[in-house]
Amino acid sequence: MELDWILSEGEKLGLDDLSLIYHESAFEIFSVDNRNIREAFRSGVKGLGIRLVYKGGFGFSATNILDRDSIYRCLERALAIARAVQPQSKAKLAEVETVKDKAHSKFEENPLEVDFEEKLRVVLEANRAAFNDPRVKSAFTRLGVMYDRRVIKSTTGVDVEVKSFTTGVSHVSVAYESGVMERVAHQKSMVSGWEFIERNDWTEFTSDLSNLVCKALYCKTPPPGSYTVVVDPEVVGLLLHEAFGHASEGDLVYSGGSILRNRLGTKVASDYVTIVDEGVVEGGYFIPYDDEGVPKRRTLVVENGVLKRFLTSRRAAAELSTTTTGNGRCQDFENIPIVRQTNFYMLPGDAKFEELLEGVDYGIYIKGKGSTGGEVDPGMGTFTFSVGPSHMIRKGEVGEMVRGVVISGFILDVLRDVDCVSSDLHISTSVFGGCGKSAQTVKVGDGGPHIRVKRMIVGGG
Amino acid sequence: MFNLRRILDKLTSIGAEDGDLTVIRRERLTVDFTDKVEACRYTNGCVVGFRVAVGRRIGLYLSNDVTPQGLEEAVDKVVKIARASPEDPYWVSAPKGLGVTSVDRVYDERLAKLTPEEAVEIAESTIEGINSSKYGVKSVYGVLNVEISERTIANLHGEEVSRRDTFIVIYATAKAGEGSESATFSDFQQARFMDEVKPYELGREIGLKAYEFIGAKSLDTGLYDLILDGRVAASIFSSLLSMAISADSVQTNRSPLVNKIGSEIMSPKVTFIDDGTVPGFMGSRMCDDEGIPVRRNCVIESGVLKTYLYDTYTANREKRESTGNSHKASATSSRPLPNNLILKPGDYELDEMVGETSKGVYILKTIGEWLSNPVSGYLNATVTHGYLIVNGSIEGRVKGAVIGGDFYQIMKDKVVGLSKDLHGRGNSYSPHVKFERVQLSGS
Repeated sequence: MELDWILSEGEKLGLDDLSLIYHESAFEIFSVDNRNIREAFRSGVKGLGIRLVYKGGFGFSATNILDRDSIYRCLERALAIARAVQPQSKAKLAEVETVKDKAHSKFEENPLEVDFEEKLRVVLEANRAAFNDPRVKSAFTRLGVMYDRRVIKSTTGVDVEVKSFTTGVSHVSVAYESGVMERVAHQKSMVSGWEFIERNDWTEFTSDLSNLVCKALYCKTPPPGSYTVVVDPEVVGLLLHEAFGHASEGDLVYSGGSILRNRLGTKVASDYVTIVDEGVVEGGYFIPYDDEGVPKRRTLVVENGVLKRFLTSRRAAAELSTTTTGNGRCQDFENIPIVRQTNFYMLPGDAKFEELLEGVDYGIYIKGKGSTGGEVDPGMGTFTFSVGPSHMIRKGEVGEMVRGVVISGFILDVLRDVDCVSSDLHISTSVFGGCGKSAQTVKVGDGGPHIRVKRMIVGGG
Repeated sequence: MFNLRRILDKLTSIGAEDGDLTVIRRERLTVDFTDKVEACRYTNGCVVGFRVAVGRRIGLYLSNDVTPQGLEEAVDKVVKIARASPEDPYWVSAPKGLGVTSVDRVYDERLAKLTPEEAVEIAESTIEGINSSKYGVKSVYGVLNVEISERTIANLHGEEVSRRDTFIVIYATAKAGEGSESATFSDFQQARFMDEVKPYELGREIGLKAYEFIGAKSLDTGLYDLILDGRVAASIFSSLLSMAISADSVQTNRSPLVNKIGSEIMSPKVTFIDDGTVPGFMGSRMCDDEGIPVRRNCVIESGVLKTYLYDTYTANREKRESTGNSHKASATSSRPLPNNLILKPGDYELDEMVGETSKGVYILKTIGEWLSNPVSGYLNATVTHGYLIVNGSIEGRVKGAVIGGDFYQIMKDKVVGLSKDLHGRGNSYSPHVKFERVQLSGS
């Protein structure tokens, strides 16, 4: 789509800054519910978002009608909004490097070109395989395919295109026996073409989840209280993203809504903890540039326990008098870029998994498979997460399974109590979900190694 | 704009035998603010969602390309998807008998004409309320969102119906103090009409609460009487009940309420109504997302489960009528969910509830209640703001404890009473609710 003429019009209007995002996406969902097809869905969406700054006033408008007249009206509306805001707002944007690039994720087979019949076959077979035990009463399986293309141009000389495909399968099994009902849900996604679907055994994936939920039926919940815990990479990722990552987002820092405000250069975690945010990493989502066209490289957020940097968009960087880290991201063309994480994860240490268990007389091995997510108050650092079926640890050994486990606490206490970090690393993303903030959802990745935390509050169901 | 009938005719001409389409035109005006207005956004757009049947083969397609060429492509694609799908044995037909119920205060002309300047003024008034509440209290984050939508549903049976809705939500967070001696508080106002929001008062109340919770203490693990603020209770009920009473969850064995119609599942003090016709409530609407008129459904009456909620698809599976509860994600795929889930109020005053509590917590705010498990019925929520009650008086502020337990057992055996007033969060409404001896996990 031709966008340069809009930039020329913007220059004629005397704007401080003009950024355009042309976005097109396609999303497919094929879902099977208890052996029957429930959804064969495809969407195709495209549109243009216009963000401008006029005398310090921010204006934004978007349209999905892409003829010249509609786009011009959209530009005028954004300008009218900037004028309305301008008396109250003296917004600045950090300078960015001039960049021209096209970045496409790697794929072998375009998943949108694979026949619907083939996609339905995969998801039907996977769903059928979940009924491997008479106690499995319900099984719901989805196959997701996403295509995302963004073209970002600005009067600062940015001209970037980012294109990616993501595929994955999600599944939930529900088991019931003797008045007890339990569910376990999980998903596996990759920035990839159809080959990711072809190279995985999805019948094994769903039947494993059914085995897990049947086993969980007979498990107790752990007595509520404070425990030494070993946390798997999935929960480490969730915990870091929600409870620490959001607090490191520059907009929350400059507005005062983060517990990390005024803590740069100070100790916020134990020496074992190093955390980064990185745009392109194995297993994560594909974000070589943010939605302001800024390259998203590795940002060292915490190094050996010391807070080194906040994540910034152009706006947050200007407010914090620093440079942008390439974290200005928006859900789609209808939204304005705000500070978001990309792939936020903890770097591995050098311990073996067994070393983490050593010395734990009575604790819990917290596992992520089956987790339903978490919530955090970034201003206070309070978090709560519902994790998957987990295991007690007794005298250094992984013991019986427990279910209905909820962890909660204050993130800085938890990170200060990390006393051992393993050498493994696992990062994941999801084609189905994303991270929500300010009514926008964006794709992210998260993860880390296994870690041991001396003390964490565990509540049971 | 485009001609709906022409699209439906085209669908029929290339082999669609049944189905419906949904056209949503939406305008959004948003103001983002911290301690000052940060940005204002306006978007408008139109999407068309198709649900098409060829025999019992169903295809779904959503597009925002509403040019003649874009719609032609959409029509071709959705029929192609339907033809490729296996048969759905439970599919009977798209909804028939479209119509509307008369519902007051769902569309406000004044809100629909709100200008960016007026929206900015509302945001500023909220900020002013926070910043003037107490010395050292500051607005740190907020958003004002105004949405105007018009939805048209048309089917291949020749029926067509439309509804219009307006919404305004102001959400704000204040911070008081700095470092370890600090506290935050967030709250919101939601309404369908402009005259129902009081931004300055909202801001002031948020600011005062943030100040009040500086120095809140952790709580010891133990059994406490709990008074859930109406909005906390509304959020918990929405998380645990909305899916459980959906006929879709019941028919697919993902609800703990399977085969429980006629059973006493809660205390006789508890009556839950689903009602999409209450003037000004957030889930009120003249018809559901399939174009079926909404109505009042008594779901749990004096503790006894009376009905599940149905859309056309789930109703057809049981050869009964839809209860008018279709909610369509992406304007295509339908699931039955509550319109407004309402716990019928009782006769307590909040002060009475507190006064009659010897050891308890009045829970003002929680996070993570949506992580509760609607399949197993496990309740989980983390208290971020609560008042410790000792011998009938508020003795301090507490934070950081986890409420956990079997939701249905708590609702059956632990309910002491309900307050007279009703409080809403989203489309869920509840009075303050008092429970006796519930487990809290603290430090």
